[in-house]
Amino acid sequence: MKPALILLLILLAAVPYLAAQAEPTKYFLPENILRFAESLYQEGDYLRAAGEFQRYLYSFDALPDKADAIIYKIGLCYKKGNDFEKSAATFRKLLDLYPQSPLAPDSYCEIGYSYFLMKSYDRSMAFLSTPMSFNPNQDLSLKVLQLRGLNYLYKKQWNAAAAYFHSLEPPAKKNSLTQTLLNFSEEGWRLPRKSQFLAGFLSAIIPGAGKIYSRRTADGLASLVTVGLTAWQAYEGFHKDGVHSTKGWIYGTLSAFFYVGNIYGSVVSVNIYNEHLENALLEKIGIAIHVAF
Amino acid sequence: MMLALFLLGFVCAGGPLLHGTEDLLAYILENNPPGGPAQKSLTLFSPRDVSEMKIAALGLVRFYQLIITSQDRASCNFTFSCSNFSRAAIRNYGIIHGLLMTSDRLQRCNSMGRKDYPVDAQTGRAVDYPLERYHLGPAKK
Repeated sequence: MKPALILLLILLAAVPYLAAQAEPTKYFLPENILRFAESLYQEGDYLRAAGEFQRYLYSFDALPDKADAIIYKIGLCYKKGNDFEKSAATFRKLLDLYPQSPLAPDSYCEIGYSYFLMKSYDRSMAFLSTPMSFNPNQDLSLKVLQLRGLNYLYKKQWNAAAAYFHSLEPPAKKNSLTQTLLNFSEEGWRLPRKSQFLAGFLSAIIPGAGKIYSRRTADGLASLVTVGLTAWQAYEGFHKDGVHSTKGWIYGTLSAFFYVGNIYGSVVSVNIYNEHLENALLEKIGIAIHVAF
Repeated sequence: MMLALFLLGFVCAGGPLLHGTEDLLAYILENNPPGGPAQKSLTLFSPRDVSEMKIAALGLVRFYQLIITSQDRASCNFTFSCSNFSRAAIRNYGIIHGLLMTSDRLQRCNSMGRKDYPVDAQTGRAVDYPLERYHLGPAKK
């Protein structure tokens, strides 16, 4: 027998043995799913990580030990993945299933914060006013109090926010973030807003003046020219042919259309100006709270 | 003359039927929300939802879009254009607010004021939506 053939026979005989040695990776084992989920979380792929964490939970017949930590992680995944409705629902699930879990206080706060991030400020305030089923520590109590005040700020209720922060008891009131938020609420109250009435009044006297008052100079000048030219044409028509002037009526109607629209637009531009001021302040507040929450 | 304009508007209000069925469907659905009382009869314009003046005004804007402005190049400073802004304003806020908003928009549509608005990267035109920012009064429910 040729040596090559002998070698081949030996190799063929060894195949079952070698195959038995190479154990395939069991990707669907719960611990591997958990490892994969953690890896996705670390990579910042939060929504996929949430799916894998859920798959881990469902790979058991009953909820495993420390399932509260996994549910909390799922909530965090949704929050970091900007799906705040689901994050609130997940944290709520944790509170319902494990009211005595050490993560319950944090979940309580996260629910309020998720509503806040959804811009459902009323919902957030309503939730944070519900009694807690556990004894919160000092940090959590402070966070909840600050979150309530933040809802006032983001609803642009500056007076109510200032009154709220003033009404807090000393340990919370003396906190640096509380003081910052109090300062912001007072700043929001004192913002140099423009008056809607004054803008409308100015535009009624001189077309476009209200827009110039609200720093829309170009639009104000355009209004002045538009109303002025159409009014001039109407005047010319009526002056030449009297009340039966077609040109007079057409330009007169156009002039009235632009004149009334100019007053309306001036009030709108003041609203937009004030909104810009408030939004700029809210951005500053957003930066201030970014680290704390 | 007013009657002629009114009739012209009414006739042109049917324009979307010929020139944009999707547009018309969106309009009908907007005014006949699912489960609402007017849903049973999907008429073209339900008198309960839309006034004749509104139809006429919308028709006139549509007439302008189909017949007049289609003859030259698009020259509005904004995206979406003043005529589309007008249609949306009249549809959403009624004839009076719609016309006031249209008048304001026409006065804002000048090249000098473009620096006050964000610019759409695709078209290079100014952007001024959402529409409700330019509406005075309670938000539409």
